[in-house]
This record gives sequence, structure tokens and C-alpha cells, in this order.
Amino acid sequence: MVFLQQLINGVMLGSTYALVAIGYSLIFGVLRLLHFAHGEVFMVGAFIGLGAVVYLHAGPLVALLCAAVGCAVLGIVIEFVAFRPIRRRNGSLLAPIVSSLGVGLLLQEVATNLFGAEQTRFPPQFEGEMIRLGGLFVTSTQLFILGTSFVLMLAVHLFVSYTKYGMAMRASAESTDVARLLGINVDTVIVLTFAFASALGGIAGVLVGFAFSAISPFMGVSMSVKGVAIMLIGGLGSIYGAMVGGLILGIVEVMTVGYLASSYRDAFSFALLIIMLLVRPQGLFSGASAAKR
Amino acid sequence: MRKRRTVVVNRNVFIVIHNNEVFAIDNVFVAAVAFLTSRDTGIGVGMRKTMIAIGLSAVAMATPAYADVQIGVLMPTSGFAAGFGLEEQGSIDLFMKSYADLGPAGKLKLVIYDTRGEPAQAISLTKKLIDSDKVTAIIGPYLSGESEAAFPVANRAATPIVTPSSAKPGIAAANRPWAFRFSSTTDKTDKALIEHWTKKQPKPIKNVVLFYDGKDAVSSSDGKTVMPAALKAANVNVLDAISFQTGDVDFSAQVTRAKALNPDGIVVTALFTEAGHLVSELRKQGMTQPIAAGVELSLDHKFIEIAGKASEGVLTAAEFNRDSPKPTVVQFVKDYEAATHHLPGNSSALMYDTLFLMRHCIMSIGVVGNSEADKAKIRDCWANMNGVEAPIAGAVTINKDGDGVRQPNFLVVRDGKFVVDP
Amino acid sequence: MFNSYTESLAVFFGINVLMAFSVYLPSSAGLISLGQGGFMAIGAYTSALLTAKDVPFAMALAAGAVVAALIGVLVAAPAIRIRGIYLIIATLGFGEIVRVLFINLEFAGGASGLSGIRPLTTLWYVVGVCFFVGLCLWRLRTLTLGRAILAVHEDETAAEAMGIKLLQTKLIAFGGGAAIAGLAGGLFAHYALFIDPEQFGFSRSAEAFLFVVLGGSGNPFGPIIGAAIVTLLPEVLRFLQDWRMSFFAVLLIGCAIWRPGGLVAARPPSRL
Repeated sequence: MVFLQQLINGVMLGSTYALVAIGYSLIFGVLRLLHFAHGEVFMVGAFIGLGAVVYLHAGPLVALLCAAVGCAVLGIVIEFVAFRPIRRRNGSLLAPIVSSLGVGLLLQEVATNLFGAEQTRFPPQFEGEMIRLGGLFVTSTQLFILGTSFVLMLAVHLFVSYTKYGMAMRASAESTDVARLLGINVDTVIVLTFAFASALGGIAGVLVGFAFSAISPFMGVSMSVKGVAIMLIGGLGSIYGAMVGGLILGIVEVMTVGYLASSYRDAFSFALLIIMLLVRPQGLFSGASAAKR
Repeated sequence: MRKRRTVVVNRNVFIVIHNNEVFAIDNVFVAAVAFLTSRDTGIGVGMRKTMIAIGLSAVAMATPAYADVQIGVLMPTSGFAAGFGLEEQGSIDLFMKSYADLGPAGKLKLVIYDTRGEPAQAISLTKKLIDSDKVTAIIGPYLSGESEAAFPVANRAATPIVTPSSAKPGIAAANRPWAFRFSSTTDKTDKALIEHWTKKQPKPIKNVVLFYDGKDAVSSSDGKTVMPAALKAANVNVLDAISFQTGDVDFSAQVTRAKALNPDGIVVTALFTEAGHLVSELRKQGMTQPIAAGVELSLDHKFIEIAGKASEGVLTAAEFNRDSPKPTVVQFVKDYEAATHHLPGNSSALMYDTLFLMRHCIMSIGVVGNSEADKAKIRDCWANMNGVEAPIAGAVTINKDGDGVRQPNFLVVRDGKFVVDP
Repeated sequence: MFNSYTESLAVFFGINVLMAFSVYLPSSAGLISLGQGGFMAIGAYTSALLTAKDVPFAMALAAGAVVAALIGVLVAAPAIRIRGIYLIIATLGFGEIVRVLFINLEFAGGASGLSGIRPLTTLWYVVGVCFFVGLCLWRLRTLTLGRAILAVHEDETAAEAMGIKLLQTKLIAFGGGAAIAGLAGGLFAHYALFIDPEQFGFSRSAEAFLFVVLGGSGNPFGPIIGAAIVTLLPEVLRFLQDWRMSFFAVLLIGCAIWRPGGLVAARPPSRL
């Protein structure tokens, strides 16, 4: 029973990880870029959500929408300012990494100057009733987060599988040259990818704010590193890999804390990463892009 | 060619250019004398210089030697521990309004640095205070981890350092003779807290789950060694000791684990932010057991802000009794609230008293600079402190380990405020 | 000669130069590491624990470097066939695992860190070590080993065809980098007098990586310039107060766009 309860905790944490990791995968798939600043976009989303709740007296759904839109815009700006110029100049493979590190640092610094380095309180949105499901207890907050995450993941799946733009994204992830030959405007797809990925990251940030009632300018730092780990476990560039990898990571973390000690929390996550690298480097789901390496 | 020009550099130093010689004079009276004697009065150069010399010595005898006594202060005014730093700042401002004057010793000048709660910063700032700012003594740091790191530095540099608040046992003792601690240590406060807590329960507490912050120095030593010893002495069994790290916001896994054990009570040793989140999660998951929190909480009102309604009924210990009828305490609370619109927490009281005692030491010695001898005098004053009256804490004694010896008070959260639990 | 503030700046600059060298050496063999922070931690903790037991400073430093190198080789051996982006991720993972390991080592202070370290690092020590390592790296280019490393970087197949032992060369380059990071860690520990696992996390590794990418990885001077810029620029920008790190971040982005080969652009890394 306790195990199942911890599993729920893990799935809830994992679903927020999954949303962020999907963004990582999307961007990696199309650009071959480890977007280290994505964790910071997640953080910005949380603060936008906070602003919506505090200043616009918005409800949870409106807050999510604000964060999604705000972060989508931010993502587009980042692509235009920090990455497109490098592609135009045909920079080395490492230049975009440097640029993304710079963007991440900038976002963090601006947030720290605006909000202070300590945690800012996120007003609780749900009355925290405990709902019984069989022998298990779930709070309304947890249900909302789980629900939203799964709906979004389903939406992503439908989007990339059935819509024109989604398929264009997947084609570009396979091979940008072939996509161009097929008449796809790769530049537009890239902008769209950034917008979409950043929106997802922003939503995840607000959900985390709901879950833990506290956000800080540094909440994105560990997310940046974990995002890379999740991508690897799930398969570089694979969206479904990101979803599964995120859930796995969340569950592993919660189980480690629940059954061992909080200090081991990151140990198993990274041990898992190393094992995957040695045993199955292409990840659980070979994302289309991974096959080429 | 007689040219004189007086240039005011700042209000402490005057440059007088006189017959192509430059004098830098730091006393306004002497500068005036120099200015006056430079007029074309027909007095020869040698005579002028003699007059200046006479004027100098006369003035020096008449006006007191104007010297600031510099005391360094290390506080966390930003970062995760900023709540504590804010409380200390309130006391500093209040104290300096009335007590900055030291009589014949001059004026008290505080050199305040922000450690961000980081031990590495505490070390480099301690070095800076001693080497660059040349302070006579240091008050701070706040957190036990910071003090652990900074004390050896001050001790090696033969500079007295007093922490108002660090509670981890053994820190001052390891850095004799220059390091001191105004507050008491966790081993003494925990024992009293647990005794008081278990005595007043309607249902006896036979076993507990203990939560502690594995990253914070005092919370972790408290959670691993000190608190379990206190619980054992009160015949309470620790079912499980569950850890988390400073900065964690997600306690769902830990609380789920504790819930399964169904303890009679819950003990928490953590700083106010983590304690607030933890207590909130405990109540959220439906755990209604009584909660006792260690002295690391420091009566910081942010704990209540973060935990909200969940904080009702939490018992903690602190050296500060805000409701004491003692007139000096009543006055302090009133003045503090008037100035900051917050009630003072434990951290405020500790800083205020430490400042008071440091000033007491300076004034009892007389004129104080930052020579080795002066530092040694301050050190001895603290080492031999026995029964000195501090405004809030009353009679203060420092024992041979360099620790303060005091009785804790017990406070419980009622209606969103800390009130004394009799 | 210096006041203590300038001195600490110089010491940290020197340590950063060493960290830059530690990324430079493997990168000249084509191995990009985002995990040098982990090796720095190993060197720091090893040397600090040894000097606490009265081991002489030079020996403790050397021991830290040796342990870091051994672990570097151990880690690199199975991973040596991993290419490009996977290697970067693997080194990242390694750095994180080291961090978590030290959080759980109680005798090394655990998460609260290790304090009371003896102040044994002086500016001359740092300058000396930097000079020594820099000289070695410079001379390495003319030695057979150095040329082998460069050859491996250019084209592995051709290098192998010429009789260069791929595995050995790569391991030496990686292990050497780890050793240099270990030295940096030891010097750091005995200057800062307090170490905890968080100080050696991803930020530290990313910083070292930046030194080399910014300064250029064609010759040993590039990393020095990179370290100089990253260490000293925030100090020069102090007048910007709270916005100096933001300004620095903007500079990073600008560099990435306009000078991707590094500021001392001798040879940008041609491919991964």
C-alpha cells in the first residue's frame, strides 16, 4: 500500500519531468542541440504563473495558459537571438551549447534580480482535500497535475502524429536536408518547435508551483541537468522516450527518498544514466535521430 | 611666493598647500591654525611651523582622540537564510539608534557583510574583515555551518569572534580561545524541549518519527545525534529518522514513508523554510500527530507564513521569551515592532544582546583600537563573562567551552503567532 | 605585496586556469568533457583528508591528482568508444555521480561539507603549479605523445593505420586532464578552507568547459585567455552591481555568435 502511494508521488513528480523532457527532445531532435537553458524557461513559466495568480487573480487554468503563451514567446525570442545567428554563420557544434549556457545564466540572473534569491511563495490553488481511490489517498492538487500532464502528453502525441506541422517537425528531426527537399520550411519548423517546447516547459513550471507552493530562480538548474539525463534514458530526440524517461526518473527519485535516504536521490538517477550509456546508448526508444549516430 | 590653498578632501582630512609644501591634517582645529598662520603676516617660515606645532599639540590635548571602533558583522541577508538576516538587521538598526556612542572609546562602527548563508563566503569575508577592514572583533556568522568554517580562520588570526546564534555543539570549544557563542547549544535545549513536550500530551508519546535536514550543519547533527539522545533520555522510541536537504520543496515521499509507520508524535529539526513546507505536507497528507520542532526554527515568522494553518500547535524552543514581563524586554518588543512592523524573533533578540555585550566589553576597557592587545582584552572580557546583565536575556554567563549558558523557553503556534507555552 | 583581496582573485584565477587546462588536454584528443568538476572534487577531498592527517602538502596534492587520474582512466576505459554528444552526456553524468557520492560520504562531511582545512595554498604555489602544467602541455605538442594526440583528434582511422594505439592515447589524454583537475581541487580546498559537494557540480564543469571554448582550444594559451575573461571580467564589471552577471551572460551569447572558434582562434574543433 505504501509502495503504491509512493508510486503515485513518483508519477506526479515524473509527469512534470516528462513535460520538460519532451521540450528537450523536441529541440534536440530538430537542432541537435542540448538546450541547457530549457530548465530556466521552465522556471520563467513558474514565475509567469505566479504573476497571473497574484496580479490577475487568475484561476489555475488561466495561469497555465499565461505561462504557456509567455514561454512560447520567450522560446521564439531565444531562437532568434541566440541560435539562429549561429546557424547562419555555420558555427561549430559547441557554439550553440555556449550560447544556451549564456541564455540560461541570463534568465537566472534577471529572475534573481527581480524576485530575490530565496524561495517565493506560490499561493496554493486547491483546497487540498484528500480523495480516496481504493485504499490510496490522492490530493486534489495531485489529481490536477496528473490530469493536466497526461492530457498534454496525449496532445503532443496527437500533434506530432496527425497534424501537418507535427509531421513536419518529425521530418525535420529525421533529416533537415531531406525535409527541405520535401518542401518543408525548416526555419519555420524550428521556430515552431521552440515555441511548442517552451510552452510545455512553462506549463510544467506552473504545475510545480501548484504542487509545492514555492518557486525560486534556481529551480531550473537541476532541471537542466536532469533533462539531459532523461533524454538519454529515453532516447535522444524521442518524444515518447522523454515521456517514459521522465516518469521513470520521477519514480526512481521518489522511491530512493522514500525507502533509502534523501541524500541518495540523485545517485540512482545518474547510475541509471551511466548504465544506459554502457548497455543501450541509444536509449529505451531509439528516437529517429539517434539511429544515425 | 607665498601661496596657501586649503583643500577639503573629506570631512576628516584637510590638505593644506603651504609654500609648496603639502600638509595633510586630519583635525579641523589644526587645519584652521595652519590656515591662519599662513596669511601674510610677516611671520617667517620657521616661526610659522613652530606655531603650527604648538597649535597641534594644544588642540590634541583639548579634543579627544576621535576613533571609530570597528566591529565586523557577518549575516545572511540574501539567499535561503535571508529571513534570519532580516531579523538581525532589525535589531542592528534599533541598537545603533541608541547605542552607537561609546564614550571615550569613540563611536561604534559596524562593518556588515552578507554571507548568503554560505560557509565559503563566511570564510572569505572573515579574512576580509580582519585583513582589509582591520576590525577589532567579529559578530557572527549566523548558521552553524558558517561558524564551523569561519571560526578557525578568526582563531588563527587572533581575532575575537562571537556568534549570536549557532547552536551546533562543539564549535566554540574546537576554536578556543578566540571563538565564542552567545546562544546555548542544542544538546541542552533539546533535552528540555522533549521533556516539556512529552509531559503535556493528553496521549502519551511512546514513539516518534524524526525528520531532519541532512544538509544543514546544526539540523543534521541535531537529527542524527543530539535529538535522538534527548528522546532516548525521555524514553521515547525513534521509529525512523528521515532526511531531506536544504532547498527541497517536495516532501511527499518522506511524509508517505512516515505515515505508514503511524507514530505517536513527530519531531522536526530544520530551518524555517524546509520546516514550513514539511509541516504543510504532513497536515496535507492527513497526519494529525503533535509536532515538536527544534531550536533551528528560531521563532522565525516565515515558518508560520509558509506552513499557514498547518503550523497551529507546533511546539518549539527558543531562548527568547517575547511575552516576558521584564521591562527591558517589553520595551525592546515595542520598539522593534514600531520600527519594522514585525514582532522580533529569536534571531533578533540574540543579535541585540550580543551587540549589547560587545559594546559592554569595549566600554569596560576604555579606548580600543585594533591592536593585538585590544583584541586580547575583548577576548578576555567574553571569556570571563559571568552574570553580566543583557537587556533581553538577563544575566549572561559564558562557560569554559565558550558557550552561553541559558534556559530555553517553550513556544507554541496559536492563531498564527508564537505564544509562550507554560 | 598584494592585499588579500587581489591575492584571492589571483589564486582563483590560477585555479581556473588549471581547470581550463584540464578540459584542454582531453579536448585536444577530441574528448569533450563536461564533468571535470567531479575530478576536481576528488582531488580536493583526497588532499584535504590527507593534510588533516599531517601528510605534507605537496604529497597530498600529488595524491589527489593521482587518485583523480586513476578514476579518470577507470571511467574512461569502458566509455572510450562513445562518441560525440554521448561522451559529453556521459561525462556530465559522471560529474553528478561524484557529487552525489560525496554527499553520502559521512567521514568527508557529507552534505554539510568539510571544514577546518589547513590554509596551505599560497599564491606562489598556485603560480608554480600553473606554470609547471602549462609548460608540460606546451612541450607535449612537440613530443611523440602530443603528436599522437593531435593525430587521433584529426582522424582516428588514419591515426590507427599509422600505428597509434587509439585506446592508450585517449586514456592518457583523459587521465591527464583528470589529474590536472585534481591538482586544481587540492589547491582550491586549501585556500577556501571549506569544501562541500555542491561547489563541484555542473556549474563548475560548465565553467571549465566555457574557458576552453571561449579562449580557443588550439593551443595552451587559449584556455588561459578564456579563464582570464571568465574570472576577471565579473570583477571588472563590478560597477554594474547586480547586473554584472547578466552582462557577462550576454557577452557569452555574443561570443558564441561572432567568435565561435574561440577568441584565440587557432584551430576550432573541426568535428566531434
